[in-house]
Amino acid sequence: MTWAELPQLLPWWGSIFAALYFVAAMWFEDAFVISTYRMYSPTADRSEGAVPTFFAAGVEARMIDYDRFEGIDPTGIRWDNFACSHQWMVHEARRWVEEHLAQRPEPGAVEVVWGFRVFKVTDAGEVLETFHPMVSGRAVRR
Amino acid sequence: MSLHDAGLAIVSVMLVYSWCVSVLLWLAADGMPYTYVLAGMRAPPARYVAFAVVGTTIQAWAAWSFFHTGGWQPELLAVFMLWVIREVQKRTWDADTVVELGRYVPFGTAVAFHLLGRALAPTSDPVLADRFGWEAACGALAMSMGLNGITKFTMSGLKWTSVSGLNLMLAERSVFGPRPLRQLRLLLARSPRFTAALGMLGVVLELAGLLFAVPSARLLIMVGLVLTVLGIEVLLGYFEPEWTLVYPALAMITLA
Repeated sequence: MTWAELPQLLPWWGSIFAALYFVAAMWFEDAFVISTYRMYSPTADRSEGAVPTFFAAGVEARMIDYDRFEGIDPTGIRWDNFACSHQWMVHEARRWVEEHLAQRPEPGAVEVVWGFRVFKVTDAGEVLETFHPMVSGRAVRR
Repeated sequence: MSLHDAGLAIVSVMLVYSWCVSVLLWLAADGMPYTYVLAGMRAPPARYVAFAVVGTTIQAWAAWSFFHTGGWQPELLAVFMLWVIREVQKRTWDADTVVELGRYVPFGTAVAFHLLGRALAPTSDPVLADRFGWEAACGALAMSMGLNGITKFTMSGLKWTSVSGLNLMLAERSVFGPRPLRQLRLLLARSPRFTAALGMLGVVLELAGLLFAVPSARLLIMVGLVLTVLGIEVLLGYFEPEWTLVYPALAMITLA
């Protein structure tokens, strides 16, 4: 192929760079502008799915509406062995509690629980749900 | 405005959008921005606000200049700015948590590979080199989507099409979003045969995304990819304007 014929590479240029991207992704896995997009793929290899859930005074609530947490160890906010495809919610919940711990017992605090609603789907399509508390304590509505 | 220019306009606007989203995720890092709740966000320090304003101005200028001149300098600047804000974002979390938080920058990928493909183009004609660049961008985005399907197979085999795959994800997401969507997700989660077919279709479409690198197949594949992304948004609740628009924008630029 002569230099003058090289523009005929144009239709193949995309495929060449697709291959280049593949090699780069295998090499770097997750670097800026490159990714293997493995984030959700392992979620298929599981039998249950855990959804982070927060209860205040026995009612499901948004964790961000509460602060001054007491009696809760933030390190307990993790997915452990639960298959969780909402990892960002776990990261955010842990940091929220870490940064909003009570300095002293607070009047008006209510019982709070953070844990996982664990879903399971049977082969027949029945959706089963249980709740697994991970940490509990008290917090004040903001 | 030609179709090519419209595609270029989408790329330029989305480069600014991508920056702004990352800045917001960083500014609101003390709240729960990835869960789309800004209620806990404190007023950021003045220097953070100044950084955000200056950075947004620079990114907007770079995108505007790139749209009008097609020059590599503003394009490189736009990519650099996206890298800067990603590094800043990473510093607000431990280790590689940002990866687990799922923030991707498909338009950053597109323009980075456009720059690379143009620089390596086997021609001295700048117009032709630009076309080579956009073909390279299409190749990178084709593999991005293809890798979604490839990784599912390599990590989980065919389980994606079993009840532990899509059914379980639908069941999980039936607790979020507007009531009609929640009901739809629960209804589908209870339909293993339908979701097995849907899961298989999704993986096939992701793998078919590899053909986005091929100009003659691009238009058809683009339609399939847009439907896939929209399906993911509706059924799984991931709102992803960048993924929704990147394939149409590249198709408009390269097929015009």
